[in-house]
Amino acid sequence: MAEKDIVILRVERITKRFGGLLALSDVTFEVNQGEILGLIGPNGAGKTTLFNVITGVYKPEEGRVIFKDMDITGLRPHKIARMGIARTHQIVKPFGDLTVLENTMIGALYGRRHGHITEEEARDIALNILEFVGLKEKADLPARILNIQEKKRLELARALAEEPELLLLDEVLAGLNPSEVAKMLDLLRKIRSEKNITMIMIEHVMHAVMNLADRIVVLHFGRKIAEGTPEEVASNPEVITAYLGDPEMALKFVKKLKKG
Amino acid sequence: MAEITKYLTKPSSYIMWLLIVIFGIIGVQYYAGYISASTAAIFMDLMKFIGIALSLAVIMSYTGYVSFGHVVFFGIGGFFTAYELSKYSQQILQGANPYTIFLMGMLIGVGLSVLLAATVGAAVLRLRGAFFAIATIGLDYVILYLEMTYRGGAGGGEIYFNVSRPKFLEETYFVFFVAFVITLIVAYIVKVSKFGYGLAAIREDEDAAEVIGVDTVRYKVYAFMIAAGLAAIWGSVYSWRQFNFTPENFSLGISVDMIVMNVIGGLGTFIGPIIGAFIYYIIYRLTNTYLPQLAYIILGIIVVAVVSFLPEGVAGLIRSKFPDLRKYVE
Repeated sequence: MAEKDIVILRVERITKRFGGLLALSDVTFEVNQGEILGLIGPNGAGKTTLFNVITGVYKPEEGRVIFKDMDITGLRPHKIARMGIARTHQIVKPFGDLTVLENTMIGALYGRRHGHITEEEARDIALNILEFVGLKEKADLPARILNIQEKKRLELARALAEEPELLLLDEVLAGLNPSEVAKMLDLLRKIRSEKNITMIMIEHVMHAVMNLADRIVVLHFGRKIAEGTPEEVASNPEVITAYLGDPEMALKFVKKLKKG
Repeated sequence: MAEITKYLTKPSSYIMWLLIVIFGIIGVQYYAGYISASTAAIFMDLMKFIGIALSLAVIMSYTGYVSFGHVVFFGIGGFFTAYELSKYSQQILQGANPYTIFLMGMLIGVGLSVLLAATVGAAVLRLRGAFFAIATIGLDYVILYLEMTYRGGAGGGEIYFNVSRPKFLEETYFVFFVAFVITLIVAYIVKVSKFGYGLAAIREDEDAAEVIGVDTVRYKVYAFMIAAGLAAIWGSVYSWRQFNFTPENFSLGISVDMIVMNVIGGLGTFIGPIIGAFIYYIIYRLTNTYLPQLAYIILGIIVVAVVSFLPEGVAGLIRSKFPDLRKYVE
């Protein structure tokens, strides 16, 4: 649970349109320092768009994003990154021709300590992080030859090297097999316990979010339809309908999920 | 300053120092009379090829933006140098220091090139891939036709000097060598510095670079300005050597030469454009000497072969085949 309930991020009435499409409509929620917030919703619900609004990739038509009491709405992404918000991408974006170490060093060089860090310090930070995520042996290989699981770890390493206070994880578990999912979950727990970084995770692997998240926000067609603890959300009829259409069938499914 | 000393002592700088020593020794030999002017001319051509290849490398190979209009900066540097020299040619004959006038022309050319790169760059560097490349071609045409309206010299944008070729031009090797050292050091530092990491990130994935904290807009413009400044320096020393200026100095063919040298050598490295310039120059000389009609056909075939079978160029091949050499081949 959130420690002292200090709000680190406040998303206030965000609306984002693409032409006639309403991608986000009046979305409001808060994230407390130290907590893991799950962000779920069917495909096309606006989850990644929300990440893009928080990180400055998209400018919202309405609403504000407040990070540590500062209004960061509409700032360019690199400014927001340097303030302490890092993210991973759903479709991994490694710097393919650069080595795993160089990829991670760039995170350290340009992240929160931008301008106050030497190359040697960045190298040390990067090596530590690579050990932390289990990629140290691959440090000198070009990133493009990693497999998908390793690329996901690299994505995480690069974000962690920025030394963020808030980490946005966009489907870090997607495309992984069950044993890889288990390893990644261990890693996320380790980030939470050892680095004390606040996280928002977009995830489709339900048992993972249910296990890991302190609270969950559910988006559907760009609107927030529910918010609460995993238990509250899982038994919310509107959520179940959004996901599966038929509430009766959905309840059965949820029960099965809980057993599994 | 300490940072710069650190960069210039890295193992990957050794090849650069070796080149500086070799070309320096050749210069000394030339002035001492052991090497003929025609041999010295070969090494001057080599310096120019390496110089213009590296100037483009900063924006194309390091940052990933292929500019077909890079010759525009080469041309501007050359034009203003020739303009100043012709304007003051009588004073030079009467004993004014030609280097002062040459440097003045160079500074104007480099300054205007950097300024043009900053203003145009801010607009066209928002375009990606082919769109950027095409926009730079447009830029070259605009400047070329503007230049051709210049009637001050011989007309049609040409500048010839109404004095005979002065004696001091025999010192051109020295001028080339200074430009060569400046270009090598600037291009090398840009590559291995923190700035270079940022450019590499932009080349590999611009959106990811921005989200990680790289100010991509500013970095691209800075890279473009540095690339433009270096190209203008080479246009300027070339004008000095030719002792004239024609609109040919704005021809897209020079841009293509620069691109080809980068591609043959290998993108993304400092050493690539240098290797590419060597190979390109050797092939160019050999074919031009022995098979002049086939020169460009042979060069063309080599380019197609490199792009098809060796997309990472010669430097890329060395780096992947000999991982132990990586720290020297940056």
